[in-house]
Amino acid sequence: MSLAELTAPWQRFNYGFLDESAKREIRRKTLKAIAVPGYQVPYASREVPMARGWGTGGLQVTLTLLKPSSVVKVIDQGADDSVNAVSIRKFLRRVGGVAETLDTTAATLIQSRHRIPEEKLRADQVLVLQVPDPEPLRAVEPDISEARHMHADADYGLLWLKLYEQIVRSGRIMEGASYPSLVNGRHVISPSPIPRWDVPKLHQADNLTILSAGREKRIYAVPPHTDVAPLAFDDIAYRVEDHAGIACERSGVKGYFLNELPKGGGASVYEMSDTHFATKHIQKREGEAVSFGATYYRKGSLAR
Amino acid sequence: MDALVTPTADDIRTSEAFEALMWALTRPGTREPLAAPGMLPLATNLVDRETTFHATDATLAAALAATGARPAPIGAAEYVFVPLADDGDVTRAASASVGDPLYPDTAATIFAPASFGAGTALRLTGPGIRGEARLAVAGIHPSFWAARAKAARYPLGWDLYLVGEGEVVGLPRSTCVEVI
Repeated sequence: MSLAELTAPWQRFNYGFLDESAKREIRRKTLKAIAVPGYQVPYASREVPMARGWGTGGLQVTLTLLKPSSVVKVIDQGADDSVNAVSIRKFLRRVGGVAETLDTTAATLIQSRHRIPEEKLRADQVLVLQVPDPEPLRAVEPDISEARHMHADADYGLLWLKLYEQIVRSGRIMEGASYPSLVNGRHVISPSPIPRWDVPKLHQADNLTILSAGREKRIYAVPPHTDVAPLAFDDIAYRVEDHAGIACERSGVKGYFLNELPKGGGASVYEMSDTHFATKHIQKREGEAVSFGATYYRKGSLAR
Repeated sequence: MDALVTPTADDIRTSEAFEALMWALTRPGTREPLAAPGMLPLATNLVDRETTFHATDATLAAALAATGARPAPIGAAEYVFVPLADDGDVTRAASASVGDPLYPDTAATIFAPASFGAGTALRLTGPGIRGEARLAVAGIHPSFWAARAKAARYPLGWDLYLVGEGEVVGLPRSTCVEVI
């Protein structure tokens, strides 16, 4: 067997930028990740034309899933219009010939940095989350070989201790984002730095969520209809951010996750983090025909 | 459009085959249609120089070896292509790797021919399934389900694809299978 027999005719580069060997690696490991929800599958993370830490893990999964009929949305902290989101979307368009959208309900493939959209994802949509640090045990066990043993033993006592100590010291759990969550009753994950507001959206969701860390070379997944339970004590309930009663400065809508924008004199204003969802509310107010998907939260509390 | 590259027929074929596998595993028990029939289009998505395989069918084994993948005995292979039609098949398949507690992803992925709609009735529960799913499978010896339950101690276990005429069903190790 020669190398020539194993290769395809010359092209400028492969469809979806990654070569077939890279895609097969991601495909193998994605399937393993789906089969063991929450288990971090090591994978051979490739170079992409973007610095590690800017979403290379998510990008590799998205590139592998690309097909010409895909409609992609890219989220950067809720926004579609940041440099990072716009650049990734343009890159996906150029290497995949895919359509772009800002509308959650129109997308088939959503790559996101640290937010889950406010509109409910459907069974035919795939959410790809970029993960900077996949290891929930890192703060309590910096040795990753030891952390691997702890995952194998389902030994999450130190994590519980960390949360308990936060309550003792501060009166509440101080985890803002990356809230450790138990998936399928077995593996604790860091659900990427999504706010606490977004963690319940993973529980028994209709969509498949794939989390990928390019620098740390780990893929894990939350399949649809899978239990995701943020670690919480029986007598101290899990709390999401207290945003339910505050109106968005742009759209005037209440009951969704907000960004706080500091103003002079210690004041602050709030804007809805999911920018296109806010835009749709503004369009509706101005009389345009817009359609909204069902939302995870209604009137500021979780709708189940 | 300013796309720099268009997909070749190969790109489309592998992407369709992968999506079938992905959705089959994401929604266990659902019959996902295959664009191209047979094991080989599914296998070439996953198997390459990085992997080991075990196939009983000589034609398939030769095609897989041509990808650069290394043949291995059933207990050591990452991708296993075997029939599970009789007791002997099940006994042989039972030696496939279930992975290591530190690395559950090293478990074998088993592809077996089957047909659906008649035969052993299964009730499926677990991740990816809302409530429960029912599946009737023929071509898989009923003793396999007991062997699967015995071998698997979650998160260890086999990820199973049942490949029918133009359709595939995925049963990841996280799925609880009851024979009813």
